Amino acid sequence: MSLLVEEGQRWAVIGPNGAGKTTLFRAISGEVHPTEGRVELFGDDMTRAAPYRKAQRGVGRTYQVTELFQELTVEENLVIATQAVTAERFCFWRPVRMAGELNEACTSALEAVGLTGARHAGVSEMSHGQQRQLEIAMALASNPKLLLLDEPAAGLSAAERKLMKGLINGLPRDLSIVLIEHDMDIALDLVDRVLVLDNGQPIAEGTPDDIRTDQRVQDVYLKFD
Amino acid sequence: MNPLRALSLTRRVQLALLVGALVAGMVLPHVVSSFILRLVTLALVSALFAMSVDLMAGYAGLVTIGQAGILGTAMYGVGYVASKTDGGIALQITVGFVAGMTAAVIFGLMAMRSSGVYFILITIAQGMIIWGLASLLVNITGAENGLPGIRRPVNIESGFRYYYATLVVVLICSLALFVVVRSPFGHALKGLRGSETRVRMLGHNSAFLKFYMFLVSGFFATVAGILLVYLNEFVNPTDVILGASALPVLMAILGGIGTLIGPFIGAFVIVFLRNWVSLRVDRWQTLMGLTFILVVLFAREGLVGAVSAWWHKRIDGRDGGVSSVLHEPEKREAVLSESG
Amino acid sequence: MEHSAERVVDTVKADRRRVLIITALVAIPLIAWTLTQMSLLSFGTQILNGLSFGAVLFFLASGFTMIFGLLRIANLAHGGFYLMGGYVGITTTLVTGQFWLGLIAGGLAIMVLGVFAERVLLRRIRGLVKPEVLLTIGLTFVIGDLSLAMWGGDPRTVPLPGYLKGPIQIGDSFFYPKYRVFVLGLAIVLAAILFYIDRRTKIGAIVRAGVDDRETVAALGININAVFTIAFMFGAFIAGMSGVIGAGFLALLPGQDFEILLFALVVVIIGGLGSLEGAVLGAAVVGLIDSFAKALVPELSFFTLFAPMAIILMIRPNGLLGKAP
Repeated sequence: MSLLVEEGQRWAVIGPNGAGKTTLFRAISGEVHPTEGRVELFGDDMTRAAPYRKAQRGVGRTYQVTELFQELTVEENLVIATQAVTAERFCFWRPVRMAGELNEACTSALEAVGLTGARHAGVSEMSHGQQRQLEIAMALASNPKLLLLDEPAAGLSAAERKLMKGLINGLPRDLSIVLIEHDMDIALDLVDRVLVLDNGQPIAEGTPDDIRTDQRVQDVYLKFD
Repeated sequence: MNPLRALSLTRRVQLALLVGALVAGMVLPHVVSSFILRLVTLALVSALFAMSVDLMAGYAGLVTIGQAGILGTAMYGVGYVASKTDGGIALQITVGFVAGMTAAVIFGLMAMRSSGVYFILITIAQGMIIWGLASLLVNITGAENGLPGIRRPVNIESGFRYYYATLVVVLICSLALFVVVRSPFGHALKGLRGSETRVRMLGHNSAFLKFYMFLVSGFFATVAGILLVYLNEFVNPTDVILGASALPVLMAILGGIGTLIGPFIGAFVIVFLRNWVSLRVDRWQTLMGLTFILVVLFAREGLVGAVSAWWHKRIDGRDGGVSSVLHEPEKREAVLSESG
Repeated sequence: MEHSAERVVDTVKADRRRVLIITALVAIPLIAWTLTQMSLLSFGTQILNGLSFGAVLFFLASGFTMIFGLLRIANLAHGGFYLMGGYVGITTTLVTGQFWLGLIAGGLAIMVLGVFAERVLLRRIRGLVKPEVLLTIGLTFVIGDLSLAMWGGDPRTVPLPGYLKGPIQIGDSFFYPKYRVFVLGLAIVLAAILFYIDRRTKIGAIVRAGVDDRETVAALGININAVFTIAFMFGAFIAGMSGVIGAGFLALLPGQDFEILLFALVVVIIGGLGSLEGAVLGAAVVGLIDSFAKALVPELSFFTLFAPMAIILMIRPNGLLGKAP
C-alpha cells in the first residue's frame, strides 16, 4: 500500500478495529520501524529515523489514549512540547516566563484549541474533553507541517465532538493532516481524501463522496459493526 | 474565600521565612560556637550537593546513587594540586573543576541511554568505581592515607570567614538552581520524569537531555566538592564511599524530593542528627539505614510535604500540598497507544 | 504475524552473533598479549583464579538477577546478605566444627532475613521501583553496621575441612588449591540446576510467565505473592551461602558487602538484568578481567572493570544479553 499526503492535504484513515491504522501512524512517527517499505517525509527518506528527529522535522502526533504529563500544569505541558523543536530546550539560564517566544507559542497554541483560561490548571484536574483539546495544542505547539490525529474524538460527548470537529476544521489550511476516526461523520466531513484499511490492506481510496457510496467499504463496515 | 488572598498569605509567610533564614545566616557566626559554625558550613555544602542530586532524582525522576563520584573527583583534583605540586589556589580550583566536570561527562555518557532501575545500578557502579580508583591509585590519591596539606585560600582561612564564603557561594548556586528548575530545560527534565517516551515523541533527544542533565547537575556537585575539600582540608576514600552518595539522596527524600528547599532542610537535619548520634553511640550507619527505610515507608512526601499539607489544611484552606515524586508508579514506557 | 515473529528471532540471533564476534575480536589480541606477559602455567592459574572468583560472583548475581526478573526489585542488600551470611557461617563452623553446617546456617539465616525484608518491608511498597531500591540500600547499611558490631572489623575466613584444604595436582607440575576447584564445581552444579528449573520444570514456566506478565499468571489462579516470597527466599538463601563459600578464600571484612555488591552489579549490568545466561557470561567475564588485571596491572584493576562496562553500556544500554530497549 502507499499513502501520499501532499502539502495542505487532509486525509482520513478509516477501517475496522485491528485494520492497522495506528500501526501506520506508529510507522510514520517512528515509534516502530517498518520491516518493509519506506517512510518519506518532506522529500527525505526517514524510514529508520528516530521519533525525535521526525518530530523535529515537523511531525506532530496525538494519541488514542491521552498521553499528557498528568502531574504537571497545562503550561508546563505546552512548554515541554514547544521547546522540543527549538534551541530553547537547552536553555537553563532563564525562567520560562521570561522566554518571550516560548510564551507566545504557548499562548497561540492555547488559543487555537480554546483553552486560554486553563493555562495554569493541573492536567489531572481537567475534564477528558479538555485533555483531548490539550493533546492537540501539544501537537500544534511545535509548529508541525504534518499532524497525525489518532481518534481525536474518542470518548467525547456529542457536544464535545461537535466542538472538536469545529476545532480541527479551523486549523490552518497549509497544515497537512492525517486523522484516524471511527465516527464517520467527523472523518468524512473534515477531509479531502480517505483511505480505507482492512486487515492491514488498503481496500479503497478516494474522496469522501466516493467512499460513502463504495460497496466494498460498506461491506467491511457492515461485517464488523 | 478569595484564593488570591490565600495564596498571597502563603507567599508572605514563605518570604518571611526566607528573610528570617537569611538574617539568621548572616548573624549566626556571632552567636554560635566555632564547632557549631563548622557543622552549619558542612550543612550548607551538603545542601548544595543534595540539591544537585535532587535535580536528577526529584525533577527528572532519575535517582543517582553515584554523585559522590563527581563530588569526590573534584575534591581529589584540588587535593592533588595542593598536596603533590606547588600549584596555587587558582590552579587547584581549576584542576578540581575540570576533574569534576570530566567525571560528569563520563558518567553522563555511560548512563544517558538508560532509565529506571538500570540507571540507579549504573550510577551506583560509577560512584563505587571512583571509590575503587581512590583506594588503589596510591601515587595520585594516597589511597587510605588520603591527600594532606590542602589549605584554604589565605583571605578566607578562618572558620568564621570560610563560613561566609560558603554561604555566598551556596546562595548564588541555590538561586541558579531556582532558575534552572523554572527554565525550559527544567521543564524538559520534569517531562522526563513523567514519560521519557512521550518526551522523545515530542522531539526531544532524551539521551542527550540526560547527558546535559549530568553536566548541569555535575556542575553543582563539583562546586560542592571544591567547597568541601577546603572545608575539611583533606580528602580520602571515605569521601567517595557508597554512603557518601546515598546520603544526599536521603537528605533529599527526608526533606522533600522534587523541591529545592527539601534537600536544604534535609541536609541540615541529617548533618546535625549525625553529629548528635555520633557523639553518643558508634552506630551512625545503622541509624542512617533505618532513616532510609522509615522515610521510604512512612514519610513519602518528606518534611516539606508534611508541613505544606498541614499548612494547606489548617491555614490556607486549599487541599493539596506536595505529592510524592518518588512514589509515583513507574510509567509503562514501551507502547504508547493500543493498536487501532 | 508469524512471518514477522521469525524476523524478530532472526534479528536477535544476528544481534547475538555480532556481540560474539566483537567480543572475540577484543578478547583474542588481549589473550595473545597476556600470554606474552606470563608463562603458560601462571596463565592457567589466573584463568582458574578468575573463574573461581567468577563462581562466587555467579552465586550472588544469579539470585540478584532472579529476584529482579520476577519481582522487578533490584535488591541492593544482596552485598549485605553475602557479608552477614558469611559471618553466620563462620561462627557456626567454629562452634560445630562442620563446614557443611556453616554453609547451610549461613543460607538459612539470610533466608529468614530475606523473608522479613520481603513480607514486612518491601510488600508495603510493591511495584514502586525507586522506593524499593532505596529501601534495600537502607537495609544494606543496617546489615553492614550490625555485622560490624557483632563480628568486629578484623578480616575473617571460614575454617575449611581437611578434604578441601591443600592443593590438587593436575598433570606433572600444576598445583592448584582444592577449595577453589570445589567452588567452581559448585557453581557449575548450581548453574545446571537453575537452567534445569528455568527451562524444564513447571516452577520455571511459572517464573518465566511471571517475568513476562504477572497479571496473566495471577489470573491463572497461581498465588503470585507466594511465588514472589519463594523467589526472594531462594535468592537470599544463595546469597547467604555464597558469603560462606566466598569466605573460604576471600576474607570477610567490613565494607566487603559494598565491594562484592559492585562486582555483582557489574556482572548484571554487563550480562543484562534478569538474564540467567547473562549472569553466567558476566560472572565469567568479570572474574577473568579482575584476576588478570590484578596480576598484570594491579593499580588499574578497578579501571579495567570500569572501561568494559562503560563501552558495553554505550553500545548496548541493556547489557550484552539484555532485552533490547
